[in-house]
Amino acid sequence: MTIPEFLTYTVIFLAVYVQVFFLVTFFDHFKEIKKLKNEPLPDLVNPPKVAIIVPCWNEEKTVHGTIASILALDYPPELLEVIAVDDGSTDKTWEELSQYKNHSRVRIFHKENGGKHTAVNFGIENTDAEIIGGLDADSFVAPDALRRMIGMFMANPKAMAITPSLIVDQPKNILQYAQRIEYNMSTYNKKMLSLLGAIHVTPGPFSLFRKNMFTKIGAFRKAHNTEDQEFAYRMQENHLQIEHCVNAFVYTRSPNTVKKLYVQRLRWIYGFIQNTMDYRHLIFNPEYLNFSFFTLPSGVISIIAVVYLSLVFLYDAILLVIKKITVYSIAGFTHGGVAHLHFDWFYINTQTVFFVTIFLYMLIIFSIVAGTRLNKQGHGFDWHILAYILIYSVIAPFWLLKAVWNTIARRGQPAWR
Amino acid sequence: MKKFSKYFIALLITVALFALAWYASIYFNNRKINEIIKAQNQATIDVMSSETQFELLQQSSCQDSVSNDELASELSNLADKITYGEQNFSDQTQLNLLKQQYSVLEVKDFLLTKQISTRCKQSVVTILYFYSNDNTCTDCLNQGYVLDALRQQYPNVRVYSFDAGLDSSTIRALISVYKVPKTLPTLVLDGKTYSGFQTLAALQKLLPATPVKKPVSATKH
Repeated sequence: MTIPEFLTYTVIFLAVYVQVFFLVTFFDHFKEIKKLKNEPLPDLVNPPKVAIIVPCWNEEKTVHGTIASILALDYPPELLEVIAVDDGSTDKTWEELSQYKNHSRVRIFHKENGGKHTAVNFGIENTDAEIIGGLDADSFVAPDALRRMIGMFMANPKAMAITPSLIVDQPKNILQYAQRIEYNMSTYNKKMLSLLGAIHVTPGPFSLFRKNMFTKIGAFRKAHNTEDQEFAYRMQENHLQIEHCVNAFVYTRSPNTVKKLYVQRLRWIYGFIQNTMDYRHLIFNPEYLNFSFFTLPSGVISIIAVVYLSLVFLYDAILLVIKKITVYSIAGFTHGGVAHLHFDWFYINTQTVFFVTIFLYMLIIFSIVAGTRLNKQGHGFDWHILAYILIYSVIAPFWLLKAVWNTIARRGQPAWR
Repeated sequence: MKKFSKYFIALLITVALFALAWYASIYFNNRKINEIIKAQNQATIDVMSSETQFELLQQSSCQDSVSNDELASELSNLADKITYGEQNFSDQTQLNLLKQQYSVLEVKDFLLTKQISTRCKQSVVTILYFYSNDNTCTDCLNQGYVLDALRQQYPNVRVYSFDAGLDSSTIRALISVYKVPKTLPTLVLDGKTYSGFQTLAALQKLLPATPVKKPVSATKH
């Protein structure tokens, strides 16, 4: 076995191991997960006051929809307030927010631009609610989501944060359909991580927190423009429990162009690398169990795997081009021909790597189908899975490689948008 | 220990999946080897058939249809599979054995082709191509491309490829008969030996002016 073959098998082994670990977790908690399908809406006795902070930066077109979706939540009105913070917008966001000036349940604030985390922290400082959440202006919440999440808080006093399930809102093109598949898979992954007590991100859209926790571990930080990741790392570092409420659905708008998706993912991956480096003392630290032995290593493995395999693919592609040029230069266009186009199973790759790759894709497809069911987006195989695999196989290596390059070259953090 | 049991179970399952993949790979590679053996057996029968036909031909005229075209096609198919095996099979032991048998079949076809073309005055050009799969022959791959191109342009050209490094008495005999040097690639075109890489243009100059339509023959590189 050559060194490149050994590296390829190692990378694929680790990738399969991560998926198998999720699968083992799934079947270990199968009964519990099955019950989620018809989970009734909880009855809330003496529910806590909730504040939802809407950080706004140039959101004049979407901010009304976001606030309206919060006000429409199935929750006692007197116990739910919206805190909209205009983070120094340069468009008409403030004028739009001013329409809520006299609204009994909406409070509006304007501050100088300082980044999303400063707007959220500003909101936290200006509320006395027990439970605090945020909602990006590009997201909308299902009416029963808050009630379900508060139900979890009340059932589990140890839960300090609860994350919802994210669903891509009204996909219109193939790229957005591919993202919907990815988000469905994320719900599965997040539920498994939740069962392992090892969630590594509390997403901006509608993650809820107990307010007293902020006094314990501090407010949000800039954290390489991924404050929701860093905050989850800090919670794990302080042994604070993060739960995932599968049936609380939040619909979010996804990037509709490759360029926008690239910018978003570059920020996420760069943030993951930087935050993981900042909290590297947690990796393989027995004190933090699954978070340190599974979540962080599997994230690192996935980046290494994609970077390595895409470099191998690139190397093979370059060799193929060189071969074609060589053949053309020494033998002209006549080499090759239609004679080789007939199908013969003999020429199908039957090396071990071929079969383990099939197993890996089967495990990934299982996680997508399970996530799609958890997100109540369907029951079976969705053909957009193929689009997801194809599209992400091509474009994901670019943002991963760029994020790694930025880290190695010590470039600055990517822009927000 | 219990908190790490899930890690252990996942490891066992992953190892089992890899073992299954490894077994599947061996199973299908064995089937491929069997397919080569089957094709080789068929080619052996066809060699004997062609030889018998040729013996019959001695007693009749060339207008009676006697041809080893079918055999050439089978050898070509066999050559493709052996080339694929050389590049993809992890265990080359069995393949090397098959290559030895294949070399014998090639020589038999080569001799038969020469006899038929002499007896019936067919314009068939035979090229013996000696190559090596090790890293010492940097031009062997390119020579293979050139010969492929030549076969497509000149259907009356028949190329017989031999792995000079193979432990085969037949190949050693050929090397001795045609005085093939250690420098590879080496070509023997209609009995004359050419050592080192030969360009397409150089080979074209050595061929008869007008190509004659004949089916393709075996090439392995």
